[in-house]
Order: sequence, then C-alpha cells, then structure tokens
Amino acid sequence: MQERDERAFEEFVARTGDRLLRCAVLLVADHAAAEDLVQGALERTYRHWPRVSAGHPEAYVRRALVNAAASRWRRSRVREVPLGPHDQAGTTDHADRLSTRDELIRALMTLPARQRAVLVLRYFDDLPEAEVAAVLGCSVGSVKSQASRGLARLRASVDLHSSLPMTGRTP
Amino acid sequence: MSADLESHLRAAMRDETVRVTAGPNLAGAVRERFRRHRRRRRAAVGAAVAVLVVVSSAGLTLARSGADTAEIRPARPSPATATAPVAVTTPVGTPTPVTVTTGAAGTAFPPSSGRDVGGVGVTWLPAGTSSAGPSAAALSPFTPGALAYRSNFQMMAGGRVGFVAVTAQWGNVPTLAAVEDDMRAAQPQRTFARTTVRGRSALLTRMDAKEEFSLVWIERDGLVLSVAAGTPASEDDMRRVAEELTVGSRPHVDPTVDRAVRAALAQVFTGGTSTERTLAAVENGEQLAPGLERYRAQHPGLARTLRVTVHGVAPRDAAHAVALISLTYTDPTMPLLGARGDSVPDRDRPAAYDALAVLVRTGEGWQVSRDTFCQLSLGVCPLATTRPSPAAAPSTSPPS
Repeated sequence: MQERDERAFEEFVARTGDRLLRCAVLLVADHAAAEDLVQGALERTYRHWPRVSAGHPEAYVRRALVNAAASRWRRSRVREVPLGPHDQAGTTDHADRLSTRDELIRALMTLPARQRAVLVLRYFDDLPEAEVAAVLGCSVGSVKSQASRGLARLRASVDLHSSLPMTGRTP
Repeated sequence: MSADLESHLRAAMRDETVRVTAGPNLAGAVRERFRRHRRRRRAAVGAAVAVLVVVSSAGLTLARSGADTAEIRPARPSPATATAPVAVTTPVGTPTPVTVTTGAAGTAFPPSSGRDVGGVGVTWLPAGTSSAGPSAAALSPFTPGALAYRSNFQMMAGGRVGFVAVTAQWGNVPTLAAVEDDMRAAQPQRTFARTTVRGRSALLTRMDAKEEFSLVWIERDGLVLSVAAGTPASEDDMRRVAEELTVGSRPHVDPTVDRAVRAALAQVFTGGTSTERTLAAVENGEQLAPGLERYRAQHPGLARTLRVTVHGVAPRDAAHAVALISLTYTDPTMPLLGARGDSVPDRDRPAAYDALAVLVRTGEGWQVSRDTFCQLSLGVCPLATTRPSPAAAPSTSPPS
C-alpha cells in the first residue's frame, strides 16, 4: 500500500475506531470479542483499502462487523426450552428493579443477532433506515419490520410499566 | 407508540459504551494482524505446494502418525512389501499440514491434535488441511439438550478458505428421519438426498449458496456421526474423511472430576446460595460480589428458584472441562434469554435454557469459568469492564 493510503487508513481508524468498537460491544456484549471483531473487520478493510476507500469505508467495516457478530452469535447462542405450565410465579419487587436503561441493555443482548444489529445501527449509530438496509444487505422494509419486532420484544422483556406507555404491545 | 422506548434505548446504549475506547494504536494493531495473517497464508500455501510436489513426483501420499512429524507411505502399498516411513518436518512457525491416511482402527489421537473427536479418530484429511484447534464439546446439532464432540479443520486453496468438521454424539440418538426433519426445519435452504456411508444409510445435505455439504449417519446404536465440508474441500474429500474414520469407545470421564464439576455448577447455579459461597466456585469470582448482590435483588424470583441440571460432562484437557447444563427458574423480571423467532413467551412461566458451561481447575479446585458465569448471568459483569485485567484474566473462552 502506498504511503498516502497508509496515512488515509490511519486517519480513518482514528476517526471511527471508538465508534466502531462501541457498536461492536453492543453487538456481541463482550469487550474482548468486540475488539477482535473490529480488528478483523478493519483488517479486511486494510487489505482492500484502495478499493474500499473510494466508496464508503465505514459502511464496509460495519457490514463486516455485523456479519462477524451474527456468525459468532450462531456459534454460541443458548437455546430456550419451554417447560410446562406456570407453577410458581415469582414475586416482583418494583423498588428493587434495575433501572430501565440497564434492563434495556440486558434485553437488547438477548435479541437475535439480526434484530440486535438493526437496533444498534438505527438507534446507536443513528443510521437512516436505507443505510441500515445497505449495511445488512436487505430491504428497507425488512429493516422496518426487524426494528419493530425488536422494539416489541424489548418492550415485552423489560418492565416499563412505570416509565413507558404499554399501548401497541406486540404479542 | 415507541418514541419513549427508542429514546430510552438510545440513551442506554450510549451510557453503556461511553467508557469504551479503541486505544491509540488500533491502526498499528490491524496492520500487524494483517501481516501476521499474510505470513501464515503464504506459509500454508508454501507447505501445500511442497506437499503436492512431493506427492506428484513420488506418487506417494502423505501419511501421518499420532506424532508431530508426517510420514510418507505408498498410497496403495503392496501387501507383500512394507515401506519404512520417511519423516517430513515442517518449518517452525508454519501451520502443519495434517494430511493423514490409513489409520488403524482404534488409533488413539491426542485430543490436542483435533483428530480425536470424542473417541472417533480422523485418519485422513485433504492435503494442506490444518487443525483449527483441539476437539471441543458442543451442543448437539442432532438431539436437543445433548452433548456432542466436534473438531474443525481448515484449508486454503486458490485464496479460498475451506473446512472439514467432524461431529460425534454418543448416547440416545434420534433416527435418521428425525435428524432430517430437524435439519429441514432449521435450514430450509439446505437440500437432502439419501446415500450410503460406511455401509450405512446416510443423509447427504447441500447448502449450495455457501458451497457446503455434509454427511450424517447413525454409525451404530448410541452413536451418530457427521462430516461436513466447504469448498475448496470437495464432496469426494468429505466422503473419504467419513469412510476412514475409526470408531473407538465413548470418552471416559474421571468420576472425581465429574463429581467436582457437578458440585461447582450446583454451588453457582442454585437459588438460595449465599453470594460468598456462589462466587467461591466462580473463577476470580470475588470481584463480582457487588454485581451479583444487585442482580439478585433485582431478580428475586431467579435468586430463589434457580436450579441447574447437568446433562453431561466432557473433559477438554487437564485444566478444563465442559458441561452441558439446563438452568431453570421462574422470574417475570428476567429478560427472555435466547427466545427463538419473534414470539414473546410468557414470562410468568418457568423458563429453562440449555447452555454449555466451561469449568476450569484452579488452585481453589474446579470452578465455573468467569466467561461462562458472566454470559449466563448477564448484568452481573458490566459490559464495558468485561475485559479482564491481567491478574484476573479468565483462562477460558466458551466453546463454539
């Protein structure tokens, strides 16, 4: 790679590194794994930098990140096994609950990789739906439906009675 | 309807990651990683070329014993002649091409070679293939809630990375038809055909888009085997790997280790256990006391009702073991871990999760690894501080 390209790559990493790592932490819920994913995505970018830099390198890195996070999720996910009918519902102590924000983060981490990626790109990176679709390689309609389902699951997973309206809950 | 939720989510994500920074030399680390991988790729290609040259010039096929050197034997030796093995050494620091033929039935391979897959020996692999690591315990792809053993092997040809993966599951195994039904449901794009492997009926599956394929068959009562591969490995390669597997016996677990592992899991994942006692069985657990106490206060149902069932224990090496567990609890305050699809189950019902737990032998005895504990108790270990300090470095990562 020419020196000019090297400098441009360094500037790109300096400008976007924190943002990409934060996005990756939200995608995989693990700092070390997030660093590995970011380095892997940037390595691919570095390998093809002359071509990638002519387009939208940050979108390229994000796409690599999301794909790697999805692969990791598929390899390591735990599976739910429904049991029998309700027999001993626990009591809820509202005073002792986590703050809504903590609960939201934990609930976010339990979403399927695709839904989580949509929510992270849409609400953390503030990407418009069209850009999210481009990163994920899907349609805008798919982004909308995944975001809607993800938010519905967050709403259902997190106790928001005290702070958010419950109208429009999706079963 | 969800503007408030969106703003809460946005703020929560920013709060959670505000302290996360990439470090000053990320670009340098990336560059060094790129160069390291490039060296490995070149070394792998060089080794593969060297192997091809040897094979094509001498009409030989590489064979490899359980040792670290490879042996060259005639591909089809005359029954009347015996050829002395010729050692071929590989350059230090380069991936060893693990190319193996004609292993005797019952050959024992060290688990670290990746070629012992839960008592099943991999005796032949395509040229240029290297082990991706020791064999590992995994959730069975064939029977929900069962433990399987898996080894992955990698290869590179023409700039493409291929793989061979061998999976063995002992115990109660489903019928081939049931395996096919499950695989069809999980992967609608996969195509299926019937074939014969090792004289047994088998499934031949293909995922054309990814150029991947697999064979699945019931080797005998209580053992289901699978060999999967992706190009540049060919279907013929995959079939030969399958045909040349050697089947030994089910891995033996030291009863002392088994008991200690089960006791540690029960100590960590049983409701009503004190924080101190719980964390005494977690690797570097003492630092997690404040987080665990807060977590239990926030989820009293979980704190009271959590139970663990250990389905199986598999040794990984002298200092690590993997256990397949189910956690059950009733707590409507808990997020819905791992729910499938887009349905939202009833949170007031008891929930159960299958998971693989990694245990590590420390100076304190067998303990649940910190990684496993943090992943199964999401919220106890803050995301931004999951990266361990050198003194508290977790010694394991979860099995893939």
